[in-house]
Amino acid sequence: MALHRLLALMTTMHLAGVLCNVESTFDEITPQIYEPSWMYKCVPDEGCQRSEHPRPTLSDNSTSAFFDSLDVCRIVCGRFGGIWPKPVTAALSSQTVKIHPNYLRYDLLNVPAETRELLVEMTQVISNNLLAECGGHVTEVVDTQVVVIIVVKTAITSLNWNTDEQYMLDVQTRGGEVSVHIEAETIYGARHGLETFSQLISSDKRDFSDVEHCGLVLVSGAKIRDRPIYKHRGLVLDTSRHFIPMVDIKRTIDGMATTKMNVFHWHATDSHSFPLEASRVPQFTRYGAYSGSEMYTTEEIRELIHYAKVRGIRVVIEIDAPAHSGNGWQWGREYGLGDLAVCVNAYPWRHLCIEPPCGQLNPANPNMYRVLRNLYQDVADLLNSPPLLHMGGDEVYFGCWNSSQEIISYMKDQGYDTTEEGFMKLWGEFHNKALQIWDEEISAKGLDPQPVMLWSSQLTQAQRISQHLDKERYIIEVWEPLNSPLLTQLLRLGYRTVSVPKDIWYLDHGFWGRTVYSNWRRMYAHTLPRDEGVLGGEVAMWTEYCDAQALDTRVWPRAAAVAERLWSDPTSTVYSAEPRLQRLRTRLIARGLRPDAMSPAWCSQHDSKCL
Amino acid sequence: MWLQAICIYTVFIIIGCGIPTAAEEHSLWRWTCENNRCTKIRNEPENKEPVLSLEACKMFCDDYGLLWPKPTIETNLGNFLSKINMNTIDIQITKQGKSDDLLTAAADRFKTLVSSSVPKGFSAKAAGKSVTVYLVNDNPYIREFSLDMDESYELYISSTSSDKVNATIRGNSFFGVRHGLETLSQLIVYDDIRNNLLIVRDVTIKDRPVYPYRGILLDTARNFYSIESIKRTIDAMAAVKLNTFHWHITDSQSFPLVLQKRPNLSKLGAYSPTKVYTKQDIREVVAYGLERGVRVLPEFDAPAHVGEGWQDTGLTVCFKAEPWTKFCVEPPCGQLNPTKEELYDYLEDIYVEMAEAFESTDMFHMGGDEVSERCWNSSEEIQNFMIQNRWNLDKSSFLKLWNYFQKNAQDRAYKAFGKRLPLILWTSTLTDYTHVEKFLDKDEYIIQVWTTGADPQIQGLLQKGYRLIMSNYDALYFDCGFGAWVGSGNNWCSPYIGWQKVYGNSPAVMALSYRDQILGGEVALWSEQSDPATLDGRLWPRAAAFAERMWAEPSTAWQDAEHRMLHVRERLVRMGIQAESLEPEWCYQNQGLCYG
Repeated sequence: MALHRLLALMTTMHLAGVLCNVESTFDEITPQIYEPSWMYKCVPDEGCQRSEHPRPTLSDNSTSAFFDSLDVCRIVCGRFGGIWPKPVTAALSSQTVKIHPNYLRYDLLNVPAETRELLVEMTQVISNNLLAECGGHVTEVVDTQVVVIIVVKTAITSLNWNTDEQYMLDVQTRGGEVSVHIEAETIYGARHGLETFSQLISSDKRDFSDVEHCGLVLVSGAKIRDRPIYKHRGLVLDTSRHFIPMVDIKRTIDGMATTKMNVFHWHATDSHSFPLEASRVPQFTRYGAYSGSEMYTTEEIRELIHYAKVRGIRVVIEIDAPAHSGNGWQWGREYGLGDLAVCVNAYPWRHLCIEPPCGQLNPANPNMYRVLRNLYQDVADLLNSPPLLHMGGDEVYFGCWNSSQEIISYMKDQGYDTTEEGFMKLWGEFHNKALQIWDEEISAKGLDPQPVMLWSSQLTQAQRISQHLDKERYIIEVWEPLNSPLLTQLLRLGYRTVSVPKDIWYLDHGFWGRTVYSNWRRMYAHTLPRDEGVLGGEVAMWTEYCDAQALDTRVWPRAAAVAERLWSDPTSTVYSAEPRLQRLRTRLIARGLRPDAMSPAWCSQHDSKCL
Repeated sequence: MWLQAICIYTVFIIIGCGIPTAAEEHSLWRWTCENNRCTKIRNEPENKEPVLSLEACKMFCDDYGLLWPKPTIETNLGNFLSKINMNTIDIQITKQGKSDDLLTAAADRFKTLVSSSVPKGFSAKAAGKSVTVYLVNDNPYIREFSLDMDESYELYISSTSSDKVNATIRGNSFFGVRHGLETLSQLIVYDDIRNNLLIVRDVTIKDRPVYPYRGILLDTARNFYSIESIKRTIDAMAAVKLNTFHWHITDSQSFPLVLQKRPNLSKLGAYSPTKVYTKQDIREVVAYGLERGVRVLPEFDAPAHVGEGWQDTGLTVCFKAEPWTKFCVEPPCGQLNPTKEELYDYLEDIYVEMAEAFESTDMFHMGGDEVSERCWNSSEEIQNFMIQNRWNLDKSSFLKLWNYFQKNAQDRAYKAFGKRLPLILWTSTLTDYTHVEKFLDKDEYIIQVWTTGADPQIQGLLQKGYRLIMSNYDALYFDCGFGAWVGSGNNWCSPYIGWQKVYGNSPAVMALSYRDQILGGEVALWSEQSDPATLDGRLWPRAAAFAERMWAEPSTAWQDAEHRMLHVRERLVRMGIQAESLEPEWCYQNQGLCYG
């Protein structure tokens, strides 16, 4: 079955090549103005420089560092060429060899049979990315055989924090043949190796040439050993403040795969809207989606989760609770279940929530927990094993609960007074009940209890957290600003954490209130503690002021800066990273993303001249 | 049966004729206008009121409906919406003249706009009244831009029979009639409950702009923009009645303008051979703009802001000089050498070809910003020239040198364009109000202000009689915010400017008693950190906020415009413009509940 697919893949690649060959010359319609007047020169310590065309009088030796294409210059210039994120060690040849996808073959004989099907899908993604380097048409055909031998040692296909992502990649060119050797413990390591392999390749499209010409060029020799520093390299996307269509989410996943990020944290719901279809509770979307077309069906969610998996990315679904819940929960009374949430869309909002519309789940109503159980069942059905749920847990407003007579009398019955500590108990009780429900539901699927994620909050403050939240069960996502001691305190208490310092890694900052925009350099320069308890970090795209229209330019290329921080945790400077990031940017564009500009194009044609 | 038909066809706002139809029962939500805002409520089965979609509700819940920019003289929208059939729109051009082709193009655009008012994923039923639009252009022979062109129009809509709606647009020029068509397109909304297009039925609008110059500047030198992305920008400009696309086409970083007589400039200076603008490209943009009432204004920035492209001419100084911080405001440096006679022949050739390419422009922008004395002073040749002229090497002498350049360039510009057309210059040390009249004649030059709105230069220049275009950077530079691209931290004019500030930026307030000397304003997108990928988001919808300020100079603040503003953003998106989002969609659906 798997081999059959492999053959099919090779056939399609072949067809694509044949189609391209037909379109050969378009001389008549190209602007007649140009003769080559410049090339790109790889200058040691400076990078690629747009330079005068070398005179023919110069010896062959001195012209070897000149390239027609900036992208080709980038893949061989500098120790790490055009690879992003930077690998642990890399030795790259300064020579290149022309290749064509028609003559690229993947040898999967040395991978466990049960992983082969997934790996074939992974190679398809890589092959498509190579075609994309030339806009889908590689017109220059060379018959150099490229064989990519992949060795995977284990049959593991699950993704979690223990997944081994390391890989080694060797490229050798002998005679008319290129052999590529990728070895990894898991297919996810192999996928990263394939991604790096694709980053050793550029189109040789020249600045001064027939527009239709495009060939692929590969670094002719490479020896790369690589593994990530942090296990959790994520991006959180909010699809509640604005609905983000699936196609845009998938494109974001493509960018994450390119930069070896591995967690798509889906902030799927909030008080504003509930776009996530739950088959057991159709009311969520019926009452909570912005419109019938602005929701994610179960089928689409399943497809997305698989799409991400093929790209080495785990999807974490966040159901933010007990706060940040409102629209989608307002139908309880109508169905005889009482108030599932309180102060939904209540006004004036100032004392009831952080931003309108307000809404918090009603912990006094047992029916709320029943509905929540149904929702968790649906989420557990969707997620790959082992499932990771993010329970939200941020920005609970006691004023909201305090506005409900039902909740106040419930608290009295429980022996909680209506002081801050009383409300804390109520809040802690909610999380523990929710966790118990989640445990029960995944144990019904035959799975062991899994850790869940929770945002930092008043409840997670150092002096309080241990009374309410078990450190074995909760992973705390700390979003406090840099100057907050919370992260260090939680590490000292033995909690596992994911770090998202809001003043550095929030992508929405700089467009509202007094927030300050973080440029990629600032995002890159921030380092996390090297501590067992720091699983990694995330970059956050909250969408109050952003929808699909601006998504790409907000996220890219800045998320890539965080991706390298988390994968490589480099000690080298921001400036030394810039040429590689410029190459990454053109790569993202080739793959269909719309990254923001980093500088005038002049600066990318003159590395290190705009410092 | 007949009664029911009327109820479906006419959304009755004041008194409902509430017989819910099958379609309405499917809708869980409806909107109702309470206290001048549309409230989202459950559509209960026992509801007897008419079920309004959000857009239908908004149309009558504000004095200006969903119009943007708001009309200035009279706006009466009546109380009724009629269902129309998009396929039966007929446009009649009543008077004949040499602008007929433009009017025909505007009519085609109107039809495209109507079809784009249907949101993605929906399709309108092909049923409803037919629409006839009469275009009455009282001066059909005018097709030239000028600072005193008449952009006013009147628009009337009425329903003459049960199956017909008539709209009449009357204007004193193509430009006015065209604006009337934009307004008409904004009076057609989509009912997403029943999948119908609706038109406002009883309308009287009289409208004209407050300022004659309403522009957007795009810098295509720091990063290159495709012709397609420029056209898209002009489309969006036309939708909000902006009328000038100021093309900052060259700069130190690149020279994408292809010139037949001086081919080396773009050959050496373009980012790549495909990243160029040929005469044919520019003419295409100019024609595209004309059909949309948008003048395409060329800028040739000099004597600073040159570099790439000029390297083989020997006419520049301090090109790519390092450290750049000493000689210019950003890398790479470069300035023209005004002492070279040959330079002016070069300039004339450039101007001649610009005049040919930008064929319909009535003005010319000569740049003139950020000249560095130190750059000029680094050239021995220039020093010698100044000594021969018995000038010192002090500040005032360099102003003389600059003036020498400007006078020569001005003569060549007049010669190239074949007329003494109005010239525009950026504010600079040359335009300082304490001495500007020594260098620049107020009847020949318009000054474009880019310092802050509180700069005393504004009053100083106005008192001396200069006409101004306002581009004060603290409100109208849309590149502000974001990270720095040279050095660390954020860029020089951070923070990001929200649409509220753009909307509040009133030239009338800055001009006080000299308001008549304000020709208008211009939003500037300098492109160090943007390219076609970011273009739409940087400009839109903020440039729409600016457009209403320029068109209407409203006495009200942004709060009164917020709901219309959220809608114009949705409209731009439906037109294919990747405009930024201003607020969560929840705020769009729940008017008035996202206050601060």
